[in-house]
Amino acid sequence: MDGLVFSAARTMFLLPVLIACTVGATPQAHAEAGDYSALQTIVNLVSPPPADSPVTPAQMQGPYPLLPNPAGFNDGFSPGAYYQWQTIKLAPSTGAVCGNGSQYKFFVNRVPNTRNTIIYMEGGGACWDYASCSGQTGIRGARNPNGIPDDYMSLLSPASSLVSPFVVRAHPWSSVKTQNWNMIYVPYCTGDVYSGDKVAVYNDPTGQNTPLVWHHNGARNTRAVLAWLKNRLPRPTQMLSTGCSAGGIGSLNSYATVRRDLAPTYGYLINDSGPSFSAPVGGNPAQYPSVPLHTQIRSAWGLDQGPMPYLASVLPGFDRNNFGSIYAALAAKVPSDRLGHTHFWQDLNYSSYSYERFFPEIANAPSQAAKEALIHAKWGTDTERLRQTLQTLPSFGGYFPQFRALNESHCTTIVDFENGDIQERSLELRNFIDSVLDGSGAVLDASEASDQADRAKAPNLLYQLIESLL
Amino acid sequence: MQARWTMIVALALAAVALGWVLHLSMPIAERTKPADASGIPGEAKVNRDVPSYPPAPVRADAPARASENANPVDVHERARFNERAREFFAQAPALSPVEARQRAADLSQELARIEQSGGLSAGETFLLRAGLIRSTVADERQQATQIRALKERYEVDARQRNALAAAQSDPMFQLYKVRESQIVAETLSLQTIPNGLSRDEYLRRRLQVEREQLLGEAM
Repeated sequence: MDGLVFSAARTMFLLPVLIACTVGATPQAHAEAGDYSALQTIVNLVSPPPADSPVTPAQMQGPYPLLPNPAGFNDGFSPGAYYQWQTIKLAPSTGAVCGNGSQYKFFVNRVPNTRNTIIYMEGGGACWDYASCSGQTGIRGARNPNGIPDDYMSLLSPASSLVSPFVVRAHPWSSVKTQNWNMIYVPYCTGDVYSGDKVAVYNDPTGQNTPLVWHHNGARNTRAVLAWLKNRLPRPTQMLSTGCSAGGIGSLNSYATVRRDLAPTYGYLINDSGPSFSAPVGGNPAQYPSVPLHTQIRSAWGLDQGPMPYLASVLPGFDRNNFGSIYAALAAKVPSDRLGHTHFWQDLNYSSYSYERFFPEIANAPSQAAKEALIHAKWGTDTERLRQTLQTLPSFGGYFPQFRALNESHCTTIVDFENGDIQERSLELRNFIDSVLDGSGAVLDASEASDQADRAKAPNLLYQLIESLL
Repeated sequence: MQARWTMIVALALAAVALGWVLHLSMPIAERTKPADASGIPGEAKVNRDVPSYPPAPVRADAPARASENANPVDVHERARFNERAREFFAQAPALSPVEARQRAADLSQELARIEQSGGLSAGETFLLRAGLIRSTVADERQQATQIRALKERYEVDARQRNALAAAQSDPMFQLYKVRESQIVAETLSLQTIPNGLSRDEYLRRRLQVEREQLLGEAM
């Protein structure tokens, strides 16, 4: 009988053992670095984990300081509202503002079971004059000229989270580990690829309207988002910074500072179709086709006054007179991080932004086919130089498929991860993504020579139907 | 003696319950991620009939709730839904049409519930519904018709919301825009810029101060 009599102490000892055995039977505990234990996950449901690496007084000083929301400001965040897209508002004192002067907001979707975090920067063109910044139709401009609605994530137009499987938790066709992470969706409303710092005053060339006052404030917005993350969420163990197009180059340009200030244990970058091509100041456009674009945006977005000198100060090796130097500089700065760049050789969107308005022979081409051929030729020159640069950088992979019948072959990671294959090497886009996020050794480099196999594919019904949403 | 046994049994039950909760709350581990289903509609392996259920209607009130940050999502329900949806899309090509339709209908209902509580973005629900259509409708023309109708419903909803937002402009923001124009005009007319600043930096700082004064409290 005595064998059946347990002391209270024994019982209390058995409880955690029993729980541990039960919990241990669950197959996904400690799935990977950054995941909370099963028990901690339960605790998190009741008591959400607080920030553990808040902004320091020193970080609130100097150029591009991290300025959190003031005490008492209602940012809209509910720490325990897991799996919910929460609209986070930033006070004017953080320095954040949309292009039209309205409040800057971003979106958080938190989970209880991991510290790992994806920062997804939305794409959406660029602007540098009245026509492109005012949202006129008929010209390539920038997304969200009227600011960010509170219910932005509930709207399908613009496409918000439709754009990438990285931020769709139960994507029908594409799986990636970030779908289980905390998600930060950073919307785009400044037309400056998240990099500018200038209040521009654009005159209406027709003289019919008052000048457009436009806040190219991307650099400060990114800092304000970062300050919020530090003050409201735990430090990520794993962090992926990514985005397509403007979001891609935004993630590239901000990576050094985001990585430094958020301080994840493991850092990843996937720049989808936002290349920062080599374009030395004063370079020959025939040799460096992106020189005219870079000359334009240096002035329009105030890049030379603040953002690029700041980036040069934190990223040794970055030559502020040649934005294309960022790849080698970043690889040297964070050699343990896994970095990736991808875009299509036949991209006709970013390339059009890059060259169409800067080369008279393109603007005045006799036909659309002739125009596209000229654009492709310049894109090919820039892409080949970037491909060669990335081949020399083991931690910075370059993945260059040819063509996809979606969004002018612009962005490889939007909608799904399909049809970004390089048939010549039996590679799929997911091989590249896996190489960045889960690989070891050098990050995958791959490039496709011919678009023949891509163009021979059967039409994709879904792509055709949702093209207008992008 | 009896009290001790009661306590032991209670603890055991609590542990089992806790384990079950944990099981439901766990995400799918990366290493067990399902193989992706084909992205090409024409590659569907099983001939399927048009499903007997329509895609769940877009609720006009659901997106608004998503932005209010107030309604907590049932974590267990949501994690379970993610797991079931991924399993379904991975297994759908091999399922019988009847089973595929039944499981898709169940998912669609659950999707509607989660959407109402603000647990999904419009992009997510659109993709999931499009995926359910592709997984259960064999005929490509039927697929196109249903996905096009789905897209149009979302677009109508977005237009209505945008129109509503445009009609509810913030008077303080309108006041700021007036002041913004005045400050720009003043700055552009200055012969010399105070404090040795550039004109651009002076303008940025003036507008920053104005926003803090006019909009800081209102937001």
